Amino acid sequence: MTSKKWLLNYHLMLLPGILLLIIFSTVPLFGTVIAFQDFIPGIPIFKQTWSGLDNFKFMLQLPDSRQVFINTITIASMKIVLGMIIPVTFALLLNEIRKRAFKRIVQTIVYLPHFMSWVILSGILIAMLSIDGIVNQITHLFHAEPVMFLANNHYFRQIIIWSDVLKEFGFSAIVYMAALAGINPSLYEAAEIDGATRFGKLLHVTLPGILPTIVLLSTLSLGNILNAGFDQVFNLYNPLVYSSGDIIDTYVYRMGLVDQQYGLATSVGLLKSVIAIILITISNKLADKFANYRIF
Amino acid sequence: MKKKLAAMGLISLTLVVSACGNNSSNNTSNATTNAGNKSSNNSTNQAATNTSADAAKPDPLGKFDQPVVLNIAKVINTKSITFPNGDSVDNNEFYRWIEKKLNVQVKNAWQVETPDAYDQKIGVSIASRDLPDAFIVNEQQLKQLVQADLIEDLSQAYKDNASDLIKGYYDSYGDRVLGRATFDGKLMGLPNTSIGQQYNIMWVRQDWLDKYGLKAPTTVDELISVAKTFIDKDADGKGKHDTLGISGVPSLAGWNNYGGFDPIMGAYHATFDQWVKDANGNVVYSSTLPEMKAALGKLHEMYDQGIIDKQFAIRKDAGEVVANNQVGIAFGPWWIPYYPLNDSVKNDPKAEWKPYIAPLDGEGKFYTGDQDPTNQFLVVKKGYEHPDAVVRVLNEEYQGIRKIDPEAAQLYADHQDVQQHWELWPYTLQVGPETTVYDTHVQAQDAVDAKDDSKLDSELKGWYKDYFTNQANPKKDVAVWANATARFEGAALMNDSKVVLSHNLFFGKTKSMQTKWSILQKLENETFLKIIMGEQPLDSFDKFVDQWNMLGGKQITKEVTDEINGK
Repeated sequence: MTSKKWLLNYHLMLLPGILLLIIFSTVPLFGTVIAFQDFIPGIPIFKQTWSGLDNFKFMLQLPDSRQVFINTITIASMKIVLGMIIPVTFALLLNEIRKRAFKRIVQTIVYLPHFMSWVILSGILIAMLSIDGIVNQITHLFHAEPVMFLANNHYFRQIIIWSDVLKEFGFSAIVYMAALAGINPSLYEAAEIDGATRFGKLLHVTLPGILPTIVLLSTLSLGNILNAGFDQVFNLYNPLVYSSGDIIDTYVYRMGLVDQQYGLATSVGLLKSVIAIILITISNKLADKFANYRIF
Repeated sequence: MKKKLAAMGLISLTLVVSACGNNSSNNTSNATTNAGNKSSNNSTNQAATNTSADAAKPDPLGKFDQPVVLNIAKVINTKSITFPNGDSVDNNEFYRWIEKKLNVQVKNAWQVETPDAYDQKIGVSIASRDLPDAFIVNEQQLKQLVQADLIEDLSQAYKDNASDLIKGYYDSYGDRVLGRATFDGKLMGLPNTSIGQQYNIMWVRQDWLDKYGLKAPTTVDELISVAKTFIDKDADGKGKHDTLGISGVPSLAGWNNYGGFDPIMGAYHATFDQWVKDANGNVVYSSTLPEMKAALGKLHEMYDQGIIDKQFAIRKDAGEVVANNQVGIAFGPWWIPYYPLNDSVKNDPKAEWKPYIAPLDGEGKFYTGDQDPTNQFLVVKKGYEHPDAVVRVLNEEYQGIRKIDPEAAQLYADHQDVQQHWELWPYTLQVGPETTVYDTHVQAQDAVDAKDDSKLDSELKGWYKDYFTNQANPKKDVAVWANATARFEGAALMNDSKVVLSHNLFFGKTKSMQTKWSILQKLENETFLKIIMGEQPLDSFDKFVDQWNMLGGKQITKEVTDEINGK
């Protein structure tokens, strides 16, 4: 009896999430038809003239569109790979520390940036990396030429990737820390009796213990490969680094809201969605295979 | 940005000229007030024409019997305004005055801080058809609104209700302004008028020139050598190597803004963003011509040598380096003493900025592009019952801005800083005669020469006073200095015989431009930036031209040619 009631409660808890999804994801789907129209703002959608695939053709002719896709995939995949390796390493290292107070303090400090918005962090970054910022002042001590990091295609991508890793690794590490806490301590004792060194224990007990978590999280992140982080790039980029840092989301924003090319921007966004759904399906299959975890 | 906006507001306000009966070139007549209003002829403003109250015609300044509510979309930067006694952008003396005069309650449906935000918000409003009663749009949006049949025909409302002052302003442009808002013989919006003579000229620190015994540069090469001297000798004397040559803006050029490279481009006969005829008489887009390539080559050379500020493309505001006195050469229109030069003088009282028509081309001419006479349109939502109220509010606004109505001139009289924000009036729509900058300068200058200000209106009297105050005590009050310098030195050059205006054959937007122009402009801007900053070789310009043609430029050129040939 109680279990039934519990079930109802759980479903009620689902409700707000579902509502949000319907309002912000499902309903706007109908608007994607403007990708196939010669859209003139102000005329109702069903009265617009149809243009077939013209928007898509024009998009593929644009010199930027290829660059934008490449940027998106590069930035996102680098973020995924590094956003995997670094938190795991960090969690493993932190796990070896025996002083609990120290551990807590470190953990708090590294996960704090996650709760700051990119608006704030980008302001700090821009100030640090500007031509008379602290970074250039330090390199100046070694008589290096000052560099405009954020206006330089050579550095911009690296800055985007590493600053994102820096912001998120503490928070991602929490999941691994939790998985680590779940490993049976008797396994460590057994390993010790078998004569394992500390490193040996890490290799043969700890890592296998969190491997399923790692596999699961990395397969799930595949679906995000086209989300390179709009708010981060948007707050850090400038016209000079469009060629290395402009991603699909910022491009759609500039074309759609700034230049008011709604039809064209929608077609770019739609293409992104199509690619994303293929990737999510693949990652779902992979997650099923490696971690026995399925979403659909 | 904040400062820039404030400056623009100030400039726009000072541009504003009340029509004075004594100047023949300024034949805008004062709308005299009619029965039902108190007489508003101030002593200096003798009405040139008498609009007699015709019973059959509505009175442009008449009060409505029933209260009318008018919701508008508003863009204004509030951060630079300190309101007295709890006033705000939604409720202030200007709005209350309009209500008192016309019985029209102006309400801000929404308000944003920056022009960019306004463009985006109004774009989304149009797409979702959720519109205020009256709002200002750009040309592309105007055409879309006409296509979507979302706005009122204002022909009748304008004809019956516009005051002679406003009509006079529009008529001084012939058909070049109203024609742009006319579709199938119907006037669909009230255009703004971009006051002319806002092209960039060269301002130089005379005191720095004197310090190194240099002459003011007249050619690009002289400009480079002067800038080099300033950089190498550390002209600002702060002991650090932080003196820069020339500052710039990421948009590279354009009028009514500062920091553009147009004067340098002009020396190579390259103009920015214009439709011109080439040697064979074909219509071409000026940014794709070989002249532009030559200019870009020179700009790249200057950037490479460090003459152009290495960080120009990422500075938030080109005025900052001027204000910090890091540069001795600044490009800007006649009005930059209001900003950024005023800050430069504030920070370094020794600064002596002098304007020059330079750099010149090989023949000693200063080549620059003419201005689009209009780019904004006040439109009225379809179905709004009182288009006449929209027009009358504009009339009253200009009675106030031009200080024609003595009562309106008293609004915020104790708060000059608030009064200077003309954008606080309901519509941020500039209307005025085209050559007003030079014309008013001549009037003021004549008065100064004659030492007699009796013929001047209140606005020009202020300049007159400032001129002599600044003469007696140079730069003591920076605002006075700015007014005197802009009005008597900058504006004086606006009729210089060295200036050659390249005429743009087509302003406006053709059909393909509506969808492709912004993309082409982006391509242009990014390519030019990269060429100047050396990220792409100069020869990539040719590739850009091909790409530009392929992405719709060819089609647009054809459409523009047809428009010019009147098809």
